Amino acid sequence: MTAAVAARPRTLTRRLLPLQFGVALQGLILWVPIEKLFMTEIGFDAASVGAMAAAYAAVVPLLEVPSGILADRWSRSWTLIFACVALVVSSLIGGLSHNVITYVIAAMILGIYFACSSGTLDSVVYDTVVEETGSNELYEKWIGRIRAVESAAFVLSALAGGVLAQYTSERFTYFATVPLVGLAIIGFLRFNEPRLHKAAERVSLRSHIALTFRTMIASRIVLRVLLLVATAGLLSQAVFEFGPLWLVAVAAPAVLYGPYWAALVSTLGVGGLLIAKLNLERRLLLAILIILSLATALSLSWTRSLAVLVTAQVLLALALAIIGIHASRLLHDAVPSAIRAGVSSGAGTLTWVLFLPFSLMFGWVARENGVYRSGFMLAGAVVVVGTLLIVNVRASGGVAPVEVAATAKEEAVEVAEAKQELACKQLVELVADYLDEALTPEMRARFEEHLAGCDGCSTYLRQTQQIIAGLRDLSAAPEKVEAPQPESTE
Amino acid sequence: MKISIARMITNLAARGRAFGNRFAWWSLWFPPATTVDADRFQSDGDAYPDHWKEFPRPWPVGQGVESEALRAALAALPDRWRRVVILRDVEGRPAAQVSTATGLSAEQQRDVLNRARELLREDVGRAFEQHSGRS
Repeated sequence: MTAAVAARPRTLTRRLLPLQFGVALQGLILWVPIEKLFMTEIGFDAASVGAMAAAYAAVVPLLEVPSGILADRWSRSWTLIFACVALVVSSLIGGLSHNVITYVIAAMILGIYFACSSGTLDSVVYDTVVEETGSNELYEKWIGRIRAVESAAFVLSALAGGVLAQYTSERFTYFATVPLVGLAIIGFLRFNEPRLHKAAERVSLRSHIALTFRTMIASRIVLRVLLLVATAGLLSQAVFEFGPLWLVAVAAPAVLYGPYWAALVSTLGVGGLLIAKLNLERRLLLAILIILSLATALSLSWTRSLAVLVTAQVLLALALAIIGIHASRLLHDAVPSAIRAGVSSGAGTLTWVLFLPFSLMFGWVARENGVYRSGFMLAGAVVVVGTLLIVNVRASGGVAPVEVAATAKEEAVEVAEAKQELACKQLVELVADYLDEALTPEMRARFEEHLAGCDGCSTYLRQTQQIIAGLRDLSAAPEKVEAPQPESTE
Repeated sequence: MKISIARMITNLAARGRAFGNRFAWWSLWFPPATTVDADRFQSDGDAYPDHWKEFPRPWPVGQGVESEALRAALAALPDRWRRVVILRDVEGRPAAQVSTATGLSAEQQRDVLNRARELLREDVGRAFEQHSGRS
């Protein structure tokens, strides 16, 4: 066997391995747990923290869609690598900062990292799964696994970062992050990127951008799913952002914050692993998920018990993680590969756009009436997410992928009928129909007439028949070929 | 080694094109992909639009398809396509039986078969050329 032949049959698992490696290392951002501490040390106060958040919030939504379009047109691996480079630069500048200005610059570069990596990763996973297996069935399982790897890395870095800062210095955690993220680049370099999004014909940048936006706005199906993804994202962002406020309200001991945060972050991974076992097309399960989210959101407004509060938040985050992954699948199902990362990033932008007024309002209500009252806003958001989820799942008719669209063949038949002539380009679409004797009598006559006068097509047909004969012989060969079972796609 | 990598990439690209056609909604946005690369045919401005630019190169006479090359090409197909090809072409089952096993209509099976056989034909043809190049 030649090297070329041996290297070709790649399984999905092997192919996604370098990607997981990259994601894991990219998640090891050691300075995250001590960032606020470090910031106060270099002279941040409440007002400048707010200014930094604003600068950050301005960068991310502005860059999201352009970075997605970049990923679609250029390369998704390289966009992920570019994100890593931004993270490295940001960590270096952050670690070297001695004042507010340079740290704000670092935060804005971190925004580039977030914009480039969000939307790109799930698009790349979706396309790889489709390219390897010819179906989208395993997408949720794999994106779940990758989210689990990512959240494990987050948890690990949250714990390790604190320890590292204790024994060295806060500044050192920034520099320690750099080599880890650098290694992640190697993972992304080694990843064999799917070519699905390059399959469609190249179009000009302008029409590509127009197409991306038109798809997001003009198609009702896409718009509906986009809203679902964005509101689910908004809600889970709100839980992560404001959840700790409840702990403050009940004066939870400081030592609890670490494990609490770890539990919250790990729901992203647990949810990812769980979704492979769940079939969200089942109505009962969907209903349980929505009721669970609503009950937990409401209990945040009623109870003062710390244990119940933490449990409710963790369960809510878990339900939202599951809903979020399912929603992202619905979104990918609805858009073509060539604009996948662009539209997916559009969902990210919409999340930010919705989150800004939501968080301002939440903050205002929490200050005026206490965090318990603003908890009703979460319940309200759950109702919106639940409604959108039901509408979308129902509209998608239980996500059944369209198997095979015989469009090229249909077009060939149309052309042949319009021109009253069968050319080579149309003939090759009809070979299987010809061999199965499924052509109409007049089309068959035209087919044979063309064959009689065309050496190229005669060769083509003869070679196809040789292939079929060769395949038939394989069944008699000593090492018999077995048909793969539908489940054996891994 | 470099050549084999280049080949892997062209193979993937070829397969990507074939995939482009498998999702009905894609055709809402993009013109459908074809079984054989559209570049292999003359375009509207040429002498014979829609006819081969260059005929498929004939294979050596009197030589059957090498089972090793065919096996390798088969292994490179996406699982679902391979399943249809094996049931229909290797095991020679009738379309109706394959329909119950895969849920694909006879029409859909033909569409898969047409594209899959073309990928196999391309791969096997390349193997023939590699051999003649070596000897």
